[in-house]
Amino acid sequence: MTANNDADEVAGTSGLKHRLSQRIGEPELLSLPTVLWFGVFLILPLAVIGVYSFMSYSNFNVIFEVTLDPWVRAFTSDTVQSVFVRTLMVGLLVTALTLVFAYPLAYFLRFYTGEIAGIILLLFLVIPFWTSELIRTLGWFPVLGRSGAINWFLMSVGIVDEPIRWLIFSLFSQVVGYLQNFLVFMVAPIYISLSQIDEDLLDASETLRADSLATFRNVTWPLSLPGVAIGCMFTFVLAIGNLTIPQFLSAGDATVTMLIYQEVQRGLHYPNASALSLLLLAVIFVFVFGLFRVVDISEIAQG
Amino acid sequence: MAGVNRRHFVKGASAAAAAGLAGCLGGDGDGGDGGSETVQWIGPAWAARDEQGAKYQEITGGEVNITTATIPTVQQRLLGGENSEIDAYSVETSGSGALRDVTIPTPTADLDNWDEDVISDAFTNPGERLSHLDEQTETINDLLWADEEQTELQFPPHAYNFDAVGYNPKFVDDASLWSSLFDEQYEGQVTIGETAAITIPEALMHMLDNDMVDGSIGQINNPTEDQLDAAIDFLIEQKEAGQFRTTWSAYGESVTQMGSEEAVIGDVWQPAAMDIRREGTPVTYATMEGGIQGYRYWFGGIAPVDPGARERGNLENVKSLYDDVHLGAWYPNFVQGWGYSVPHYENEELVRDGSDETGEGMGPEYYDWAYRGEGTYQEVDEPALFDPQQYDWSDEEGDPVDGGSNRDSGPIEERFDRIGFFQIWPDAADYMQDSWSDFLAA
Repeated sequence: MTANNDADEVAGTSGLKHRLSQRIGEPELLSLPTVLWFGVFLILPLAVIGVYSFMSYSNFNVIFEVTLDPWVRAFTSDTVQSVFVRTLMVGLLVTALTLVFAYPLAYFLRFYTGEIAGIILLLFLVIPFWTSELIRTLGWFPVLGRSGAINWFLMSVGIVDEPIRWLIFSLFSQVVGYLQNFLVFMVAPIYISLSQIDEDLLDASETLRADSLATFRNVTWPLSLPGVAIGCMFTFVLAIGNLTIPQFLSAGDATVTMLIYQEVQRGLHYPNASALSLLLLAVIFVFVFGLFRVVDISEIAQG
Repeated sequence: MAGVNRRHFVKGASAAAAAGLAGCLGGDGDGGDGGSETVQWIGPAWAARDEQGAKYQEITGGEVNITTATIPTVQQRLLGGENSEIDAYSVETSGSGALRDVTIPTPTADLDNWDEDVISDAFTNPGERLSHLDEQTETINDLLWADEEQTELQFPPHAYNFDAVGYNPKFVDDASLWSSLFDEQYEGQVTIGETAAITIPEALMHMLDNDMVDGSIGQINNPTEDQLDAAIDFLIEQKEAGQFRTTWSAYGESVTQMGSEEAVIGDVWQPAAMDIRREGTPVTYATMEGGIQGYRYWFGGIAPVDPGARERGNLENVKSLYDDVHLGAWYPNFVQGWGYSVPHYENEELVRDGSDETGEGMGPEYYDWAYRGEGTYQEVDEPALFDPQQYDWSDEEGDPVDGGSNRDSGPIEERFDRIGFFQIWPDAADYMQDSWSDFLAA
């Protein structure tokens, strides 16, 4: 009886485990650490920010009384709206320009260099990141400044009589700063996408008498779209979330991140800063969601 | 011992022993000489430098750990709960008002070097010394003193300055008014700060002097919402018209902008002017006209943190840090290198000609240059590039020479006479911060 009971018990336990493993599943168990990580370091902080965005404020102090004031301000303030619009416009401009510069570079690395050489040359784009972002940004002063390299050259050869002042502290210098910092984030995913294109497809296109342009338009470009989408996502998100570049290279034009920074730094206004932060996050989600509805990026993972 | 059993006896004896031990150690929490822990001091770089901590250690043997932080960060940390772990803080007057509740007042009777005879009247009697500021002097007393009788310092002052316009003499002939920042002849060549509490007063002084806003000198440092609106609208108009080359929020930005001559005039700080000179770009710190458009005056201080300094047994050490190091002979010499002055400069016997355990005073040449507005004993080729930290100051009495350097802004008594504005955190600060976004976004 005892042995039978033990056997039944073991069988029951095994059956329970089997049913549990069927419900929970190995993939779920394996992803548990990641879920916990995101829970603790993403969801929880966002929840805290969310709570703060509904709190009151007075003179350096957060007052724990619920109010909608920060959100009302975020949605109705003309200043906040204009800053959001400007930030998004700059983000889109930077994304488009970075794509224009990055795609040919990725294309060259993929089709005109060997695999190893392409990776090595790609790594050269990473070398600037061995210095801090601040140094990379301030490094534009001796290039774009009134006594910088470009003005010196233009005045030396007589193209201009006096320094071009809009080279720095302008939208131009701000965009140049973004381009320098984020080019690699566009080049790399496009390069990966292009690397996954089966060259037999390109040969087949040529066999069907398509010229280079037609091959690019009908084969290469569509197949590289997942990389383009990922690159655009990285670049856009990084651009609109950046503080250093507009701080040092713009003409004092505020971005959303600068407003958030000012709210905290000057008056410890955490509720306002929290509301702006969550609104910015929501805008980013909308952009990314819309982008990935248009482009299926799962193909890049299947390469 | 009727009614006392063994457990009660042991418990009572233990309590008595503990009380006795606490008494031996000074258990009231105020600490004794040489408190039990390293003094934790937080403040911006201009207020709390390593050399000051080293000097404290040299003369007391005690250690100081300095955390460099911006004023907003100091406020965040102290108001955010770290006031139990920090002993002393330094900020300036735009930031000290918010920290009142985390500050332990310092009785002047506890400060050996606080002598009303040698502390400037600007601190002991601002109502009279700075009478031209009218009601602004009340705000000085509010920040400085914890009590009406003025026996306890709320915010012990250790350094102060008279902020003015800085300009490159290669491009600007002279500037003695804040109005110079808004002069069309410098369109696109001005750098202006992004700190509302600093930039708005500068605009208000210009506007008040030009009848562009209603108000009076007495209440200009605590502007009303209408005045704030007027100032911010004016600044937005200037920004949109392209008057400003750019803006600066961090000290180093102003140095870079003026140093590279992207901007040739701006509301830079005096240490920034010194750093610009060290980059090889000439800059002059203006002698302000005074009256409505005078210097923007502020002072920094070192205050004990409540309850940190008390609970950690370092209250006396913080007082020593302030009294022995910063009211001594060495500190005036040290801090003048960044253009700052000290409250006890009238103690010439110590500051000019004397010495104490902290070191030597300034000496006759440096003191006379810094406080009396007299020239250097040696010729200086480029006054607009003069660096007091590099000059070889004489310890002997001498005579100023023609071609020597005179300190920008003149003698200290003239600077006090030409103050136009005392920096505080205004009552309408919340409104000011809210509205300031409009200027940033313009």
